[in-house]
Amino acid sequence: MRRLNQTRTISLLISPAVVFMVVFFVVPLCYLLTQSLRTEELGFTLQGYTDFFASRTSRIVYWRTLRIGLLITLICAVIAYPASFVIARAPARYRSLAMSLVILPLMTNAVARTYAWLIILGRQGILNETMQWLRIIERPVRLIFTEQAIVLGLSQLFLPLMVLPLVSAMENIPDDVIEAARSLGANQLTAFFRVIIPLSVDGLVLGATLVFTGAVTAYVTPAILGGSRTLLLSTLLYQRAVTLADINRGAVVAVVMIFTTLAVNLILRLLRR
Amino acid sequence: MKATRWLLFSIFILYFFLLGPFVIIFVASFGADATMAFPPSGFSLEWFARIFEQEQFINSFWTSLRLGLISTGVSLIFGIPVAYGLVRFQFRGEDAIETIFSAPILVPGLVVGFAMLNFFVLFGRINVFQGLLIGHTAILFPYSVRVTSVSLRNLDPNIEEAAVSLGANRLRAFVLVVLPNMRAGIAAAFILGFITSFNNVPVSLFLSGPGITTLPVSMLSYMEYYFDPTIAALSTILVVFSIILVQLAERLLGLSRFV
Amino acid sequence: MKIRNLFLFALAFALTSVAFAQDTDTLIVSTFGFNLDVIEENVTQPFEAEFGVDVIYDTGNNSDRFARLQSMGDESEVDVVHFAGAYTFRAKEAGLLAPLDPEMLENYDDLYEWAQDPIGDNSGVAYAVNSYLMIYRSDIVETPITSWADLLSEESAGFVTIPEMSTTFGPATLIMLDMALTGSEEPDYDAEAAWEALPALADNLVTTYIRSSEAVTLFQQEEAHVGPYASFAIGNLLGTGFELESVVPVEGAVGDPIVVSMTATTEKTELAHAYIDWLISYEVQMAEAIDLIDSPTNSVVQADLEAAEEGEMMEACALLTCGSDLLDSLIFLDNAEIEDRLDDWLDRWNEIMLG
Repeated sequence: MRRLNQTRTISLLISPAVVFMVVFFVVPLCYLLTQSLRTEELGFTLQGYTDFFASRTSRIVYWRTLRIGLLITLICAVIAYPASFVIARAPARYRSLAMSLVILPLMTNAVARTYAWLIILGRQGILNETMQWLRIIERPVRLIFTEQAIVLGLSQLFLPLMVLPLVSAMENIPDDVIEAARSLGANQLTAFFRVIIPLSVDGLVLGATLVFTGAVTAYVTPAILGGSRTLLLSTLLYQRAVTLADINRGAVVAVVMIFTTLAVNLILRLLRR
Repeated sequence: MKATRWLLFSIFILYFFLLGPFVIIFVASFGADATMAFPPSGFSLEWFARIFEQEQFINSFWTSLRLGLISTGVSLIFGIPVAYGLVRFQFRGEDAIETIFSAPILVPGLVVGFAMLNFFVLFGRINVFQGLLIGHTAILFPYSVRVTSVSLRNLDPNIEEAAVSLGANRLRAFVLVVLPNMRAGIAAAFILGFITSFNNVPVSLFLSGPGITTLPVSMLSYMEYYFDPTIAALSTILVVFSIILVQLAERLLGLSRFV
Repeated sequence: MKIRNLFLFALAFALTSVAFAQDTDTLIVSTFGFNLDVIEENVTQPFEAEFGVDVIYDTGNNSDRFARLQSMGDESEVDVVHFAGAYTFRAKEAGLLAPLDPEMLENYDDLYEWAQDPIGDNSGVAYAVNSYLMIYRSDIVETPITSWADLLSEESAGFVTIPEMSTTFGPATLIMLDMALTGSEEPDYDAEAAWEALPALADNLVTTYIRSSEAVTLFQQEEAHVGPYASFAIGNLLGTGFELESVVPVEGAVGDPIVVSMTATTEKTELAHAYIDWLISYEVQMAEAIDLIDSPTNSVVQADLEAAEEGEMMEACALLTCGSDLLDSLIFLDNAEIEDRLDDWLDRWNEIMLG
């Protein structure tokens, strides 16, 4: 009796939301999958997929997207790792301020955040001037509408997603663990590599998952900073679906995008266990 | 200590990279030039005035505000019971349910928007605002379910049992005892959900329609034609807005625990 | 209880806004998101006042709105669309437009002949004309640009930008370059000479652009010194503050009618005609010209502008596509010829540009 009652309670609680998600989320995605598998002329066909992987344009775009995603994840990890350590070890008062400054960018829309890069990346922009001053380059180079521009813009966009899980993983490392390591003769750097990294690897993997997923699916930043020559999967999808109004080919890109992010998420999740 | 200096340097880099662009937007929005010159040649407030001359910004701001509030509210109404069910009961298929509700984080927003647009067309007359509302509600479920679950997990089930044993029925116990204790989680989910909806581009990009566009999408389309610092000025206002919201949330709730 | 107040406010706001419904007659117009504030003043508000209706805009660039119109099919609520020539042609071919009845347009006879039915089958009238010409940095480029072939000039190597093939003026660039290279007086739609020169042109480019905003950004950031441009972007280009000189190349400039049409799904035929007639009326065309929004296709307005010897009318004529000399030099390309080749051209283009 109690058991039956409980089943009813659970389904009462959960089914409205589940119905909503199935009807408005799962079904549309399945419908999209069928759209990627049929064209008006051919009916059911895998043509869309074979075309996608046979076309040089989309292969270039695909690899570029993965490469950029990986690079951004790396950049975010390198910047965020030591900084998160400092934040996690800071006194509570500073930590709260530090965290709100990290969260702030997440709370502002991507269009606003990307706009700044148009100013920074110009031929007479701050970055070109600085690099000339540092003698890294001799004359101004084009940065706008390049892969580098996208990498910079997206790294800035997703850096907080790396910092947050890292900080929360490092907060959980007890102080005495580090003390113990040091008292056993490890210097700070060794302690960092031997003790802290292994204990925070979960945070790192979670951060990497978030950043990579974000980077390969972001639209606004590549659309503004990449221009029309440096396409990523997202901008390619928009071009196929909207500019060329080709639902089948757009759906193919969409499905490829989903499976790519799912695969990466799965691999990284296995790492976390 | 060398290592210490290195760690401090990393903090500097982090904040320089994160916040530098905001400083540039801020300075540029007060610039006197009609272009994106930096540093600007003089001081002017005309770009702030121009925002209010653009009806598209005013209209889309109200659309975004409305959309954000309603979709967050709806997703919470649907989501809180799910969170409660997941935390309080053990049942078969729990994993599947959890996966469905975190799926919107995994599926690219652009794909969600595209899929929904195609699907809505199939059915015909779903008006633009309803379409946007459905799209936004769906992508907010991860927040409304997961964030509220966090605060439920921290709540001792015995309190509720006590209420029941004192004669309240389950629903009353939920409304009178559980909900008030979840309010920090609900508020956090509301703020996160609202911000996510308010800033969303990919889903809105596909689901916008005649006369109804969201603010970020209208900013994006403005940038297709204009390069003056109006976007910088508008961004400055939005950033100030977010600073206030983030501060408020952090003070009240410790938002960073829920993100 | 701060949090509860927040919720109550949110709830109240949500409820009032849901209850808010429309009762006046509306006309949904799909148009460019460009200069909307001025258009509101010159066109929309007076129209709404005169006819007691609400005009709702669906804004976006040509391709986005075309795709939306097509994907919505019978469910589209749009009554009137503004498109560039090529997209009007596509929309007509896709059966998205209903023919106009010239009898219902009082100002029809004032339009130039080429503006009355630019795409055929009365699929729309041109309410504005855009010209596609060249612009360059006269303080940097020493040899003045005079021809479409100057896109290949060695002096500007690395600083040339052209639109992508997939854009409104993509094919026009190639066809005009072909005319310059072969010396032909008439456009040759196969443009073989231009295709042969394209790899060389590709080496000359800084990059291509899709949106006019990208072109302006490239000039703004001093990445580009030379490039063709569509006349509607002149304000933004001059806004960069550099010394830019606009030229009509010796081979001529390409004319592109900006067309207003009625959709196949509209039930408001009369109102749509009234709106279209409004757009081509003397008052509206003159107001839009003086504010430098659109170049008029109403011949009476053009005649008055050209005749003006001082004041804002003369200034407007100097900056717009205006005056019989310029209008006569415009080459209107055949959209059907271009559309036939476009798929092949896109592939061929990508092959060269990605190489």
